[in-house]
Amino acid sequence: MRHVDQRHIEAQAPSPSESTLLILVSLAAEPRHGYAILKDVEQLSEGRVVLSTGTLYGALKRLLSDKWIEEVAGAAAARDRRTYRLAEAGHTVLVHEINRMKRYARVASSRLAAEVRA
Amino acid sequence: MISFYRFLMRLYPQEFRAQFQSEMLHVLAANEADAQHQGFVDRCLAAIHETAGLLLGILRERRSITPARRESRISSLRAPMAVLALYILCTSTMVDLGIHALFSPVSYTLIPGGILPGLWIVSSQRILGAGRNRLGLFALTLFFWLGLPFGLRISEKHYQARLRENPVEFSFRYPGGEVQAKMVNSAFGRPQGGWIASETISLADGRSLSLSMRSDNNAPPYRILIPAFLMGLCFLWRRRHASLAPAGQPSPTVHSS
Repeated sequence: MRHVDQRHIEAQAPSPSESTLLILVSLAAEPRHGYAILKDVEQLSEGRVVLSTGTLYGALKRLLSDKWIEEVAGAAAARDRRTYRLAEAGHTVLVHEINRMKRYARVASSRLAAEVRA
Repeated sequence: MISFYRFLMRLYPQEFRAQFQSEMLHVLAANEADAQHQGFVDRCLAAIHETAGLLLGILRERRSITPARRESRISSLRAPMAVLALYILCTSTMVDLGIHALFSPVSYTLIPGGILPGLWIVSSQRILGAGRNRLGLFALTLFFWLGLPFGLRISEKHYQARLRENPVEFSFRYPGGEVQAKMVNSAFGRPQGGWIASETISLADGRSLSLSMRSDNNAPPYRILIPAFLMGLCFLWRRRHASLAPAGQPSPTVHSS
């Protein structure tokens, strides 16, 4: 039953974009503020994805409204240095996305291996 | 660059700015500080990257304003009727002046037009609420001050060119006025009565083509009809909005000044 539910959720939930996924991955490790997310995403993608501030905060706003991330309550941070963390829904989406990517990687690897054998 | 970014930030919707502006400026300042250690080209590229990101973000956020939020903005319409009347009078007069600009030099319309947009902005801000939709107000002001007169000037030149190609006499009436075009050998004699605007186009053969617009004192003054029509629309809008207000909540009422 759980398997069916997960598949249903996967079918319903839109696949996050690469930048959104990287932000979720960045927040999976620990709560971070905006600048730290920017730098971590750049490091994670080995410099391939460099988010601009406008893109980052547009994504953060959508993630907050979808409740995929949340502000860290009670943090002694100033208004210009709020900290965000992965929320329950965001964690679920990230796990589903990783599983989906693993499936694709597995299929792609097996097909490539078959092509090499042929 | 931070000042420039701060200016761009003003183009974001107000809700977004309230939530993220100070935080974004902090990140932009940190990025700027990082870029100080890079070369000139890298600094320029970083600035272009940030600017493009902000502009795309502005477009995205502006497009994401849902109909419900638009409705809530409309619902905040509040102003005394005197301000509404001033707003409608200014708007209709500017439109009226724009129509006249077809037949008279644009500079004539710019003189009163210079005062009217000021009144128009004041009344608009009062109606929409101070600080709301400043970008829209700025765009509309530019349109009335620059776009409309110069657009009409271009159409006027085009119209003159067509008249030179086909110099025919014509005359037509419309509610409140009359347009006359006539080939003459000297200055056009002005008919008496009503409001007159005339323009003379010199032709290569020495003759001149006079184009005049004359308001008719006996015809319905459409300048008065336009504000009356807009006032009627405004009343209907308010009444409809008041009837749509949820039960238990005060409907937006007109505050008397």
